[in-house]
Amino acid sequence: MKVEGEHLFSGTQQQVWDLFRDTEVMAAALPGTKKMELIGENTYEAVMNVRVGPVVGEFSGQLVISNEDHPTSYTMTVDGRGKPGFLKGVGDVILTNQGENQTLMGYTGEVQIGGKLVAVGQRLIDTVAKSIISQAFEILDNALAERESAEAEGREAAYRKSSESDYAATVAKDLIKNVLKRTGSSEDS
Amino acid sequence: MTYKVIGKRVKRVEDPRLLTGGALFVGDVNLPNMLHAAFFRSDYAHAKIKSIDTSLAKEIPGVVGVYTAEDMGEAWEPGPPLVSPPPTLEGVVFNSRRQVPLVKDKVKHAGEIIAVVVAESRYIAEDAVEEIYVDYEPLPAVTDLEKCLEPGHPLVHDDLDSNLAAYLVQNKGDYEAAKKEADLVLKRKFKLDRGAAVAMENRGIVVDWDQKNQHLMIWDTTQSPIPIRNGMAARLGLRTHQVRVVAPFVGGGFGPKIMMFYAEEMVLPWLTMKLNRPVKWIEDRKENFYATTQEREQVQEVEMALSKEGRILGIKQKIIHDTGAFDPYGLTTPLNTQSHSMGGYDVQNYNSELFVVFTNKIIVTPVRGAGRPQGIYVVERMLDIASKELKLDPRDVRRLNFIPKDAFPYNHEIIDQAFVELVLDSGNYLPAYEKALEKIEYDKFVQEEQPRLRAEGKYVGIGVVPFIETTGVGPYEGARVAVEPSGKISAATGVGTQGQSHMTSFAQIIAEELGVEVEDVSLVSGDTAEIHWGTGTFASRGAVVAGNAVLAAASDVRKKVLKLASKILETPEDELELEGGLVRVADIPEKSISLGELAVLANPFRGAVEPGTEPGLESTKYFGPAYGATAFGVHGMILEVDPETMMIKIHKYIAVEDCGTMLNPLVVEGQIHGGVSMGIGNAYYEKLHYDENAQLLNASLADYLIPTSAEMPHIEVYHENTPAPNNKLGTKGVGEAGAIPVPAAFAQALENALPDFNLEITETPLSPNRLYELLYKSEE
Amino acid sequence: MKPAPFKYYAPQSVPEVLDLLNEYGYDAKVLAGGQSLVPMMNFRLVQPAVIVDINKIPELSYIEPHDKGVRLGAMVRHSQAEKDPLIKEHAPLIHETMPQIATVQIRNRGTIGGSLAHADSSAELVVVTTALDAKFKIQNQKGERLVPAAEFFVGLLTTSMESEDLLVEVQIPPMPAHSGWSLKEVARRPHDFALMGVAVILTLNKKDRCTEARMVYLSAGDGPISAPEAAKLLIGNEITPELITAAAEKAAADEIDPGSDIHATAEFRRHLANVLTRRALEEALQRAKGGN
Repeated sequence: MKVEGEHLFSGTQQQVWDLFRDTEVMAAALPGTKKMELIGENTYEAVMNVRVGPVVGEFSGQLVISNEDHPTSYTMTVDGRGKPGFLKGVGDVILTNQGENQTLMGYTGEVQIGGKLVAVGQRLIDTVAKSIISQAFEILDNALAERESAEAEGREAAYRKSSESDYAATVAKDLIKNVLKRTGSSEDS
Repeated sequence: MTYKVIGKRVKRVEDPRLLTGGALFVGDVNLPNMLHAAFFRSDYAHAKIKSIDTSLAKEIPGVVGVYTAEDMGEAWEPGPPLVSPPPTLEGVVFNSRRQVPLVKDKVKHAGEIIAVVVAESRYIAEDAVEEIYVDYEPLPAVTDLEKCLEPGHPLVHDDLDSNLAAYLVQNKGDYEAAKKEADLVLKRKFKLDRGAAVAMENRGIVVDWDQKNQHLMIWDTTQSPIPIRNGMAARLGLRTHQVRVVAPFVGGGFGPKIMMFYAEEMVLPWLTMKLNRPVKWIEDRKENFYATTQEREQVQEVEMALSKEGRILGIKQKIIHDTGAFDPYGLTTPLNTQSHSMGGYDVQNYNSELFVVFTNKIIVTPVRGAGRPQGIYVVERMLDIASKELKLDPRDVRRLNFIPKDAFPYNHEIIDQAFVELVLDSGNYLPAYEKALEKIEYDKFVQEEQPRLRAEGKYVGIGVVPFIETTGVGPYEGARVAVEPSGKISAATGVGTQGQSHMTSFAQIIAEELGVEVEDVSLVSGDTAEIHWGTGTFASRGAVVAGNAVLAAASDVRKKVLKLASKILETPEDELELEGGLVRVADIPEKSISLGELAVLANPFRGAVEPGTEPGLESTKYFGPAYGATAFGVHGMILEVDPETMMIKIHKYIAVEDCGTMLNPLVVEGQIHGGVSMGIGNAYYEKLHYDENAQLLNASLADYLIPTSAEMPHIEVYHENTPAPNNKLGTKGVGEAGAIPVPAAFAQALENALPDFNLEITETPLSPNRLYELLYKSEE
Repeated sequence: MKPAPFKYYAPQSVPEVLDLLNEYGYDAKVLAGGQSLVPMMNFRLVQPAVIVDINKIPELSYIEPHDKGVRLGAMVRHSQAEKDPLIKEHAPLIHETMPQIATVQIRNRGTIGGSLAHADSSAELVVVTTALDAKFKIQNQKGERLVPAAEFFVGLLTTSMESEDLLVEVQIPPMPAHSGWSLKEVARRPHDFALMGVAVILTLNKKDRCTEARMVYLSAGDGPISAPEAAKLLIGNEITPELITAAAEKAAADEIDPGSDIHATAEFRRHLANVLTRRALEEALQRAKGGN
C-alpha cells in the first residue's frame, strides 16, 4: 500500500525537524503507543496497541531513522508484528520552507501489511491508515503550538524538554482515552 | 438404443437424506475420546523460520500436544507426486516439488503449516495456536509470472536455478509457413487470474487408529478415497487392508479435493497413531483460502494467422502458467489449456510454448474446468477480435472453422492430460451452434431488440461461444453389483460423490439392466471397504468411466441371472425378460421367479456351486477407455451493462450441450447450472487478490465474491446427442462443461453492448473497477 | 474460526445491562444481532472479555409514533422495520433503505441499534440517520441523554458513547413538507458493502426553490460524510440539471474522502459518487415536486 501526502506546519523548518526527532512527541503521535525506547543509534523499540472501534491489535517492533539530511529529509523504516498480522513500512519525509513560520512536510512511503489484518480486514485498511495519519498530524500541530507558546512565554530554557514530553504524553493519554471512550461499549449490529 | 430408465428425468434418490439432515458428512463423525487439531499457519508467504516457540501453547489446559516438523522425525516426508512425469516430448523440463506436512526451514506460501496443536476441543486448540510464536526472516516474495524467470529473481525453491517448474513445446504443422500465407496476423496478450473452488463443505478429516486391531480408519472429504488409502498405507508402512478410507457425502469437490495428500492429511494419521486417540480436523472458511488448492492464473501471448475469409491458418502461443509454491499435480492443467486452445476448430498449424512457474502463492491443481477455460478464452477472444479486424460476422468465422462432422475421429495431435495425443472421438458441432443462435434469437436481437433498447439508452449485448471439453479419461474405474436375497440391489464404486448424483445415475443403469426400480438400488461410493480398485471423481469422467464399469458389472449380473433362471424356469435365456424385480418368461408372465429367490439359489447352503461358476449374483467389472470422449457445447448470453456504474445484469442465458447419451437430463442440467455459476464468477466476481508480497487480500466470503442466486440468470439448457463411440453407453462427461465458455461469452457480450467505447477485453475476471478503467482510462 | 474465551451474560432488563456495563467497562461488549460482532470475534479480530447479550430484553423492540416521526427501540430487527407500516408512512427513507441492507438472513437477525452503534461507515443506516438528523437515546446508570446523529458518529467504527453507555432508542424526525428523498448505492452484489452510496433529502418551497439540501455518503471516509458545500450550490435556487451536475461534481471531487480497497479505488469511488449524486438528486427532486 502506498502512503503519500503532505501537511503544512505552523513553524520553522528547524522547529518541525526538532519536533519530529523527539522520541516523546513521536510516541504521542502514533496512536496507542504503549512504549517507545531508543535502543541504539536512531533505532527505537515500540509497542503499540492499535485500536479501531472494537478491533484491538497489539504490535511490537522497531522504528529506524536513516538517511538523515538535517533539517530537510530522512527515511523512516517500521517493522512490526502482532497476533493480527505484520506491518513493514519504509517512508521518506521531506521538509520544505514555505515562507515565514510555514513548513511543508511531504511524505511518501510503501507499507506492507500481512496476515489476518489484510486477509479479512482489507476493506478498512486504507481508511484506518488515513485516520491514523490525520490524528497524528492533529497531535503534532498541537505539540508544535505548545512548544512555540512556551518559547514565546520565555519558559523554554527552563523546562523545554520536559514540558514537551509532558505535553506529548498528555496529548497521547487524552487521545487514547478518547479513543477508548468512544469505542468502549458500542453495540454491534 | 432406446432405454426405459437411462435418460429419464429421475429425481435424485439421495435428496431426501440430504435435505432432511440424514446424510453423513465428515463433520458429523464424532467418536468417543476424540481430540481436535488446529494448525498454526504462516502469515508470511516467503520466509525463513529462525525459531519456533510452542512453550506457552503447551501450557494451556486441555492441550494434549503441540508438534512441529522436528517432532515428526522419520515420518516427515513430502506428499507423493500424483500424476506421472510428462511425456518424452523433446526438451521437456519438469521439476517436481511437493507440499510438506509441516514446514521445516522455509515457508513458501502464506498459510503453510508450521505447527499443529492437538487439544480436547477445537476452541482450546485455537486458543493455543494464538500462543505459538515463530521468529521469521521474511524474504521477498515471488508473485509476478512474467518477471519470476528473470535471472537474479528470488527463488521459491533454493535448490533450483530458477522458478521454472516445467517447460515444454507442442507443435503441429508449421506455423511460421502458415503465417506467410496469412492475410491477417493478430497478436494479443491475455491475463487470466486466480479463483477458488469454494465448495460449500470445506475439507475435513477424522482419523482413528485402533491399536489392538492394527487398523486405521479415515473419514476424509476426498474425491479419491482409494488412492488416499493406498498412499496412506504406503506412507505409514501398513498393508492396504489395515487402512479404510470413507469419503461419505461430500459437499462439493470441484477438483481441489482430488487425491492431494494435503498437509493435514499427512499430519492427522501420524497424530492418531502417536496418541492412540481419534483426531478430528475440519477446515474453516478462512483456512480454506490458504490451505485448499486454487487455479486459473496464466499469462498468455497468442498469435493467430487468418485468411481474409476468416479461416484460421495457425495459432502460436506462449503460456506462463502459475503452479503456486508446489507442483504435485504435474502438468494436467496447462496441458488442458493447450489441448483446448484450438477449440473445436480445424487448425492445422499450432505451436505452443509452455512455461510453468513456481510462485509464493497457494498451490495450483485443477479446479472445475482445469485449464480448459483458459484455452477456450484465448481462442474465442482471438476469433472475436479477428472478426472485427476482418469486418466479418463472428458467427460466420466460427462456422467456417468448425471441425466438420465427417472428420471424426479427429486427431488434434496435441498431447493432453492423458499424456497421449488428443483424439476427438466424435462430434457434430455446427448444428449445436446453429441451435444456440436460434434459441437465443440472435438475429432478432441484433436486428430489433438491441437497436430498440439502445434508443432507450440501454446498453445490451450478446455473446455466443462454442467450446469443447475433453472428458472421460482413464485409467479405469470399477463397480461391484450384487443381487441381495431380498431382491434389492447393492452396488459399489470407488468414485466418491460430492454432489454428482451417483446414487441416482448409476442406479438408473443398474435398474435398466436388471429390471428393478431405481429406488431398489443402493449404491455405496467412496468406501474402500466396498471396492478395492479405482481412482476417483475428477476430469468429468464419472458417467463415462465409472458409468460404463457399472454397466459392465450389471450386464454380467444379468447374464448370471438369466443363466440361473433359465435352468430353474426351464426356458431358454432368450425367451426370458427382467421386469419388476422378476425374471419371467416373455410369453407366459405368470411363469416367473423373483431376483431375491434367484440370489438365494445362487448361494446354496447345501450342494456345490457348479464348476466354472461363482456363488451369488454378483459381479465386479472394470472399464478403461483407450482415450477420452470429447463433449461439445455452446453458451449464449444477453447482458445489460450500465456504463456509469459498471453494474451488469444477465437477462438471458442459454446453453446447448452435447454430452452424448445422457444418463439423466436433470443431472446434466444441474451440472450446467452449477458450472455456469462458477463461470459467471470467473467472468466478473471471483478473483483472489494477492499483493506483491503474495498476501491474499480477500480470504473471506465477504470479499471473495461468489455469485449468489441474485446474480444468477435463468438458464435454459438444450440438448444434442452425439454418442461417444468408444464406450457402450455412449456417454461423455459434463461435470466441468458449464464453467468453461462463460468468461469468453461474457467478454463477447460486453464488447457487443458497448460499441462506442472501443473496448477490447483480454483479461478475466473483470470487475466494475476494472471495467471503469478499461472504459475511461487510457492504458499505460 | 472459534472466538477467544469470554464471559457471557444474558440480562433480562435494561438496568441489569447498565449494571454489567458499569462493572466491566471497556472489557464488555454488547451483543445485539451479532451480524458484525460475531464474525469479528470468530476471526479473533475482536476479543471482548465479557459479552452482554441483550437479545432477551423484550422492551427494546418497539416501533412507535413520535413527534410526527417514529422512534425505534434499539433491538428492532431490520426485517421488522422493513415491514412496519408506521415507518413506511412516517420515515419513507428508512423504509426504502431497509431492503438495501445486506441479505434477508442478516436483516432477520441484525438490529437497528446494533448497526448504528457499530458505526460502520459503509452502513446504510448510519448515513440515512445522519441525513434525517435522527436522535439517539443513550442510557447509563446515571441517567439518559439524547445525542444528535452529527455528534453520535465520531470516527471509524466509533461513536461518542462511553463504556457504560447503552443505545436504547433512535428517534427519526419527520421530513419537512415538500421534501424529496433518495438513497442510491452501488454494490458488487446487492448484499455487499456498497462501494459508494448517497442519501439525499431535498426540501423545496412553494416556488420550487430549494430551502434545504442534505447529501450524506457511505464508504466515503471514516464515517457518514456530508457534503455541505455541494448543498450550498442548491439551496436558494431552483434546481436545474446544470445545478445537479455541479453539485454532484463538487461533492465527488472535494467533499468526500474515500479510501481504496480491492473492490474499488478512491478514484472509482469518486466517479460513482458523482453518478449516484446526480441520480439521487434527480429522484429526490421529482419526489419533492410531488411525483413519486
